Amino acid sequence: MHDGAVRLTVRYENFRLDGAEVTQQFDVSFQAPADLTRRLVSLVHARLHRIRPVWLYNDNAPTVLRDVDFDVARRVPFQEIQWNEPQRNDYRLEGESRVASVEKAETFEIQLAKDEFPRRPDNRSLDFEPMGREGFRVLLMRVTPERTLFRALTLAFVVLLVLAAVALVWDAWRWQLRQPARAAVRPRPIPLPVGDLLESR
Amino acid sequence: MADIFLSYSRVDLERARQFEDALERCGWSVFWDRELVPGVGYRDVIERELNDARCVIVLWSHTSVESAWVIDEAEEGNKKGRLISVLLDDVVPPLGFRQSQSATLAAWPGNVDDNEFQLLTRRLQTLCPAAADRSPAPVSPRKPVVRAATPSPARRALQWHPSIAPTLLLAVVFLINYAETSVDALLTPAGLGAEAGYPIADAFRWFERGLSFDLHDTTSPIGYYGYSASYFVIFPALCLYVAAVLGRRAEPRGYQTVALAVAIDYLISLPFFLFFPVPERWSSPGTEAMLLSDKVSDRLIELVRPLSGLDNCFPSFHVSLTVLVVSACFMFRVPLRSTAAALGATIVLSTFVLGVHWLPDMMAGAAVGIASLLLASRVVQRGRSPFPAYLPPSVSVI
Repeated sequence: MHDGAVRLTVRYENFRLDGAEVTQQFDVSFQAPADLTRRLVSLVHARLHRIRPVWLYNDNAPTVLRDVDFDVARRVPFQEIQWNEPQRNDYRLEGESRVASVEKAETFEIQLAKDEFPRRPDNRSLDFEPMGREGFRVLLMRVTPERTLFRALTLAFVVLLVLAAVALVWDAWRWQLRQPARAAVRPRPIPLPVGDLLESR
Repeated sequence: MADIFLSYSRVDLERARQFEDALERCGWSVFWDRELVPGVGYRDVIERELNDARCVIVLWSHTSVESAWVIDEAEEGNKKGRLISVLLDDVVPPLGFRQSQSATLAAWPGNVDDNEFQLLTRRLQTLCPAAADRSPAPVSPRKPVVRAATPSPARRALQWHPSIAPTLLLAVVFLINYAETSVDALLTPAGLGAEAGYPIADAFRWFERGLSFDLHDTTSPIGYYGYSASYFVIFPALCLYVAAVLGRRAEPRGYQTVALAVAIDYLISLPFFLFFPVPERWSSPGTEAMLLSDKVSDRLIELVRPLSGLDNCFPSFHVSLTVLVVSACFMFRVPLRSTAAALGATIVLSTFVLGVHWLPDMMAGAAVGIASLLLASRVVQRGRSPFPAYLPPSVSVI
């Protein structure tokens, strides 16, 4: 970009939300190369979304065991997969990316809505097979709220802009007030002053 | 000897006092009979001042059109072609004084930037340039001003309009800033690059008590669009507006003061720009700040980079010029000054929010801006303006 700044775009392949692939974009400003490394590490730790598997031992609700400490979006995309070799994170995608809403986000787990997950014939419990090859990957999307300092500064900008507009109206109003006064004092021909001139001022 | 002889009727004393005060604020010396010393023959003094004055202003009112004294003094000014009529009331000047142009100040609020008053000062400039525009006053009050032999064409060009010399000065400052930014990188200690300023940046962070810009990029679009507009658009627009308003005035002191203040401001800042490298906040390690205007367009910073070096942060020239320009708006009663003040505040804040400047930069910038304006104002008010006198083409050189 400029002066050494870079734009980092993170694509979460095959995770789609509202018809578009999920991405994150970060503008990273830096000058010293070591600083870039540090900033990137900081971003990975603090800003990127997380991909986690569904814990298949709970067939009452799709559950993701929480090992991250951030606010999760209300809707998250997930994928069905077939494990080839879990130890090497080797898997095959099954079908399209789907979206589930987060029903509970608790200290140790995150529970998703059942609607999009397969169910047993009784239609009550989920058709999960913990010892099988089928599994689900969920993209836990991080919600990062605006920091209070910058929210206050944005508010300050809006207030100052409103003040500027009020000042503009005030100045225009004063200017308009002066106009009739000026028009009224234009010299008109009047009869010459008559009578004795004053001897002194 | 005063520049202007003021003729009026005693009944209009208050309005005459207000008028005399405004003229003096514009740099003219005014004689009026309130200055007469007891014991001195006032007829002699009045006659002498009337003869010596470079211009006679008559305040025509319901009373003064009937005053023999006022009419006599007007007659004297008229004979010499130095008469200017001012209508204080809705009256017509007596016969014989209707041919000359007259200014209507019946509804004049007393401020020098009033349009009618400005027209009057423009006419006055042709008869007697204000003190700020003249060469240093002659030692003897009786001696006429003697100018040097025919001025050079360059000097004559500068004297053609009162705004030319200040504008040239601003252009020179602009060019030097451009050149300075180009050579700035060469002056940075070899091999250190931007790192030369990191210890200073660390000291500034200590001053700010370690204020972090963590999650800087989460700022809402209203924030980054608004502050980017302030920094890159409103700032130059405000400077141009104030320059245009002051530069178009007949009374040139405002524009001269601002131009001189900008030059002084830059002179004070230059050593810091060259030898005190402070990197912009976003480029310093550990700040977590980004250049927020990149979220609008990364081209924006490239537009100003030729004039604003990466490590020329201290003192903030943006803050400095903004404070200077807004203060000048109030000092010289520029229209829409309240609006300018509110917009100026957004510019000052933008230097912080966009992740460019540190708090010490902003504080130093504000101090330098105010100090420069006060110094320039003092220089111009004391008649030591470095700008050549304004000589309209119609005025013959004495």
